[in-house]
Amino acid sequence: MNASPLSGAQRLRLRENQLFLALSILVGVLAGLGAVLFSLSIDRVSHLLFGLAPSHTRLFLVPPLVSIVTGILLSTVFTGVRGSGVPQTEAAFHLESGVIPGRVPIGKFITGVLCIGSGHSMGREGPSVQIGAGIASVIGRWVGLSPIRVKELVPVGAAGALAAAFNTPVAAVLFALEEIIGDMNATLLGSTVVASVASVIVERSILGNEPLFRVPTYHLVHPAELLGYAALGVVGGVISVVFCKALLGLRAGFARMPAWTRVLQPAMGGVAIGLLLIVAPEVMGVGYEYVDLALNGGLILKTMALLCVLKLIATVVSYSSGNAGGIFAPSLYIGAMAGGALGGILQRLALFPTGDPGAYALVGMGTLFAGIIRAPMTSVFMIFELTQDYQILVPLMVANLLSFVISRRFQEVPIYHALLRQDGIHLPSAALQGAPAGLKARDVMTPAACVIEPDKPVASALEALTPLGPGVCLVGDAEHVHAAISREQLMAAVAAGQQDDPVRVLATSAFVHAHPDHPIDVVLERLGQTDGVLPIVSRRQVRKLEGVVTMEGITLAMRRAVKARPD
Amino acid sequence: MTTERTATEPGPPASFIRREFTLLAILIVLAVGAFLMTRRVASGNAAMRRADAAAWYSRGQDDARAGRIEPALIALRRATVRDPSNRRYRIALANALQAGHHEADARKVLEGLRELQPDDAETNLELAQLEASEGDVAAARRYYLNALSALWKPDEAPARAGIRLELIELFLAHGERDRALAELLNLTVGLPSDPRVEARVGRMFLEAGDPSQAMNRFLRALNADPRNGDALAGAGQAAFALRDYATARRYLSQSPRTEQVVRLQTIVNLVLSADPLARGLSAVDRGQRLTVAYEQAMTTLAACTAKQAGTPSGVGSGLEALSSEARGFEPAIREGHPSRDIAESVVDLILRIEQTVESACGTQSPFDQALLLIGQRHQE
Repeated sequence: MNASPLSGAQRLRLRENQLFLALSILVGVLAGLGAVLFSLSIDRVSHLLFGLAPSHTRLFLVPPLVSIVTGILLSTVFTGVRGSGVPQTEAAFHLESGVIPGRVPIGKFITGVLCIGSGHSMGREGPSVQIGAGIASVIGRWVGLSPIRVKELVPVGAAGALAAAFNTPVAAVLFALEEIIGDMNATLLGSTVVASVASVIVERSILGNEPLFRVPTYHLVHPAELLGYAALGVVGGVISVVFCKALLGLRAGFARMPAWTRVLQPAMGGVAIGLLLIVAPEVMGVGYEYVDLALNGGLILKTMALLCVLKLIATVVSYSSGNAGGIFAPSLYIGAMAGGALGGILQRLALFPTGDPGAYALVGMGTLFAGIIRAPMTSVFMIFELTQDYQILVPLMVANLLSFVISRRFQEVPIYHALLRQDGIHLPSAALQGAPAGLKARDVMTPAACVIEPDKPVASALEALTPLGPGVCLVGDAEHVHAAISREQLMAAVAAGQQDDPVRVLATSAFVHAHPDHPIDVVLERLGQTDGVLPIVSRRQVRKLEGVVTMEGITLAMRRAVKARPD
Repeated sequence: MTTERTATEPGPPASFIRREFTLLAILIVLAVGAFLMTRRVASGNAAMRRADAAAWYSRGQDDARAGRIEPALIALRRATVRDPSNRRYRIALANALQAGHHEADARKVLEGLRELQPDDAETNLELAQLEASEGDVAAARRYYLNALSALWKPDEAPARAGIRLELIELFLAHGERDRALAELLNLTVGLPSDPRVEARVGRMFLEAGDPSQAMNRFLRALNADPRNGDALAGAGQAAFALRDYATARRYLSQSPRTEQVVRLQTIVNLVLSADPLARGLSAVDRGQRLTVAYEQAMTTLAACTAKQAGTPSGVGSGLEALSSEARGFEPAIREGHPSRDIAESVVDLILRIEQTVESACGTQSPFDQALLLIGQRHQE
């Protein structure tokens, strides 16, 4: 009788909440269908291109020939869909308010199917995440949700797609929270769970209840076997570091090549993959068949060790050369092979009784995932969901923790973030996302007073830095800042006879910078590392200048803030 | 007042609500369409995978038949990965693994299959055969019994009987005669009337130590097929075990001449032709038979005594005692017309000699075996 009174705005908000819930289900269903169709299409294309037992010629020719087509598509029609899709989704969520253009999921679907179907050693989960997130973003905007709701729908779509692609709904939810949102306490838990469940129901109603892998029954044979799993954690950590370093290094190498080669880079990778496939066709595509074999004792020790190395090389080459596909499945593959091989060795050499190599392959999958993807909760729950066996938790946590710690020690930035950084995109850290509102860099920054063209001679640049003018100038232009340079540096260069050299040769120091959303304490700390001018650059394009922070600017901003107070 | 004020405030615009419903309806239609399309593609892919699996299975079987085990294993593994629900492929893989001496892997494959269908007869049978070949009788018995207790259609009775026969053979091979007999009695209920099966069952009864049941089975087999060689030989052996030597001679003479049949025939002929206590013999004939039997026993005894000379066991003195006892009968035997009482005493002595010699020096010549059987026959 005494219904709580609601204003029109509140009722509209309530209405939007209800709509959001309904959309979460629908997005889950559509993202799940997208992921299932993506996976089926990869199978179909692979079968079409390779047949049942392909000849060496076919194995060698298919990857580069198809990569010529995908190279053209990726460079002209579907720019921005190379690689996994997970980092791009994170960037869209954090920096673009969840806006993903409609061509992105379409492009990812087509190029992903062609790249993975033509034998490139890449995973389908990353692209599925981007496809699911893209579907969610498009639907959210089409329905007319508020920008914040559109943004919130992105991880919902990602979770739905991953749940269908990997058939592990809980791990999919955790992945969306841990990796995409970067906050395990996110308020979106309910929506991601709903989408994930809806997606898995749809996936199972189409593909049946057949598990992704036939997982062996797990037993910890002897308590001392935990030492074996600890060894696996160490090995997994080392392999993870090697994988990440190799991937980032080779990718940087491709990025340094002339711009016109970008269209051909996928085909260059294709040639290498073609050669690898002749030696070991087992590294082709997603490769879950061989993971299944490793889990069930279908591969011998030597084969598993060899496949571990070759899959690592193949994935690094495929990904670095700019093809469309993920590293989620390859990390599981490499982990299964490394685990299986180590299990085989322990079975022969260990002084304590050990389980089957298949058990080590299973734990190895989680271990490499924890080391490469660096989503430790997801890695534990993913394997737990596959086995549905509590016994595996302790060995799994021991191995995953060690792998995670080693990987973090030697590869400070997680792989997805490192890939974005290579593209000049800096995501806000988890701490920054949770920081309370307060004075930010954008509140205290001012336009840059002095920007010197990189090709200007040192002597001319010194003229701009008169004793009465600014003490520090930025080298570059508004779209691309190289570094900041001080009058003292220029004077020292003139004294050293470099007065005719372009000023860019002096701009070699580390590019200390901040982003507009950095809080004032971070800004002050970084300002202390400069000669008095801190460039503020875009997160989307880390060399794009948005302003500078100086002590004078901070003083002025504080003065304005004090004046603006009502009392 | 509050309620009144709320009532006057505008709610969500009707156009917004209508738009919401329309958009949701469109999305639902889109989702249904996408679902149907994806299901169609999935069904096509499933057919494609099944066809691939069948092709790999066929290759694997060809390789396995040609003895190329490693390529067979690769092909069959691919078949099982592409169509994991197909039992036939996994059983073929397990068989190939066994052929390649990867018994542990074969067991893993079969156990995985059994986890899915614990009461599947074929899987249990494969596991039983694997365990039997590995010598784990308890596990093999468990799997055989699981296979037998599976759900069988009426027309599958011969296959079920075949499994029980395998189980009985396992028991017999491991000396578990009582269990074998119990299963044999189970088996005879509703056994199809096939002379070959009857003969096989009869032989099992014989091995399990029940010659009368064996004789019944062989006779049933011979009723259906009087020229069945296995049944003829089996009936001869069963009659021999029942000490019905005349019947044994009749069946053995008609059966195919295997080494065993010839050996039995020799013994049977000797039993029937050398018995000093046979009915209707004249005193002269009895005397002659007794002399021949006595001399054979003494020769065998002397040979065994010589063999045992110098060994620390007390067998030698036992043989010596028997020899002394035998020499006591020698005058009566040389006389040529020994009384029936003497003849019975000598036959009893020969029996003891043959028994002692057999335990001390092993099985002797067919004639010695015949003398042993003659003695046992008259002792009963």
